[in-house]
Amino acid sequence: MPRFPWSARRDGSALEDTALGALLEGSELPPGAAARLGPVADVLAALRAGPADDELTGLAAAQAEFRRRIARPARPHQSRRLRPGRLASLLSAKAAAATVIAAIGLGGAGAAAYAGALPRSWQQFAHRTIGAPAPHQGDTDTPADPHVAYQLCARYEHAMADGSAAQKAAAFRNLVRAAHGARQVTAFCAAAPQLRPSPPRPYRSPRPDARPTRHPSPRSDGPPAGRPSPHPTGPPAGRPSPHPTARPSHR
Amino acid sequence: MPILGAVIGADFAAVLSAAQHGDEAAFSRLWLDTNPALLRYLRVIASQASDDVAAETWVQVVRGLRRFRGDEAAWRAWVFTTARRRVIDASRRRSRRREEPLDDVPVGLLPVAADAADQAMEHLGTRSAITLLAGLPPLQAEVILLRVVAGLDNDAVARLVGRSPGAVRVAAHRGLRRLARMLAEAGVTL
Repeated sequence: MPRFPWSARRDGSALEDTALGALLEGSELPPGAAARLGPVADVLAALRAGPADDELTGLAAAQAEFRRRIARPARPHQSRRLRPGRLASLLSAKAAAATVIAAIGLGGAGAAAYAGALPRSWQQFAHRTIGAPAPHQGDTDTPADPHVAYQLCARYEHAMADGSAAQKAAAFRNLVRAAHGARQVTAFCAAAPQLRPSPPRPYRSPRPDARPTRHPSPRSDGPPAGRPSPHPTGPPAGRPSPHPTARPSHR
Repeated sequence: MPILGAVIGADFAAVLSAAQHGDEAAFSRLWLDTNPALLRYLRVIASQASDDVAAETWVQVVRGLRRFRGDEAAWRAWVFTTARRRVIDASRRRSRRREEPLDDVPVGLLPVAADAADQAMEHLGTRSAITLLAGLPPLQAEVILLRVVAGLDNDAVARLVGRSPGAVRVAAHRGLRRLARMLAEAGVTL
């Protein structure tokens, strides 16, 4: 168990402010606050959970509005391969899902979907749209695939060392989800194989020794500026059938 | 931030630009990334009308999309600001805006939504958490959602709700403390 020198220096309310700030940022609670604020952390983690099906049902209407107002043949420099003007109108739920799946897990999410590491509703969505396995019966999520665990913990460490606030929050969120709760994170990572002994730090502090080679985003193939296609796993170009095998349930 | 599953991150500028130039897949990605968070926010601040307000918000966002300039944080702030204005306009129209300063009532005097707390912990799903949040005074619930669900930082939230950063921080902290009380009184402990 690491020692936290600052806790002795702070009075209770300052510590609590720190803890409340951590809750809002989605980072781990300082140990002293876990007992009192752990349940709140769980509520906030639920607020951050992946989308439910009924939160994705308005897409068709929004796309229709987009088509009415904006969609038109794209400029030539754009996404030449995808020819979005034409292809976009044919965009299937499958392609949209692949894009989302690529976005959510921040790299390796496709792998996460296949490993069953996504939250249940996402796994279901991925299952229907890109053929990932169906969610496990029974309990909410997942994995305990040691590789997934290792990746999530490592990403979290990298994000905390080098990432933006968004990346920190996203990495922590993914970790909380996989660990089944904010309070389980330390144990979860301690159990992950090959992970360095330092668990995710609950409090940001300078750590000059541990700046890993820069991983600003866990997504490893972030496109360089000017890369024409913004879709890392976009619709399979040239795939003839615009009809997905399954669609998200629209109203 | 955002949450939620997705943060577009390093791709954001390219995705936004593609959407602004008519790429529907790129627009879909923006939508999929933002809409769940938007709905969760609206379910608390506009409860029964949340789906309608979300749809209206997207109509407006599509209308202004080409003119929008900014990064991902600015994008989220813009979408949520648009939604918030719609909620305010709608409630003005219905002139049933009730804005009691619940904030100033001592915590102990406020009813505690033990049922909501019980329910929330029983099925700690997102909906339950939203129900629980909706039991907080409006400003507290709103700033917590904007921080946690929209992924906005304190200053952005302050601009959005038209309060000082200090007031926003205080409201968020009060809300979280109250949430802790609600959960503790419902017997939720480690």
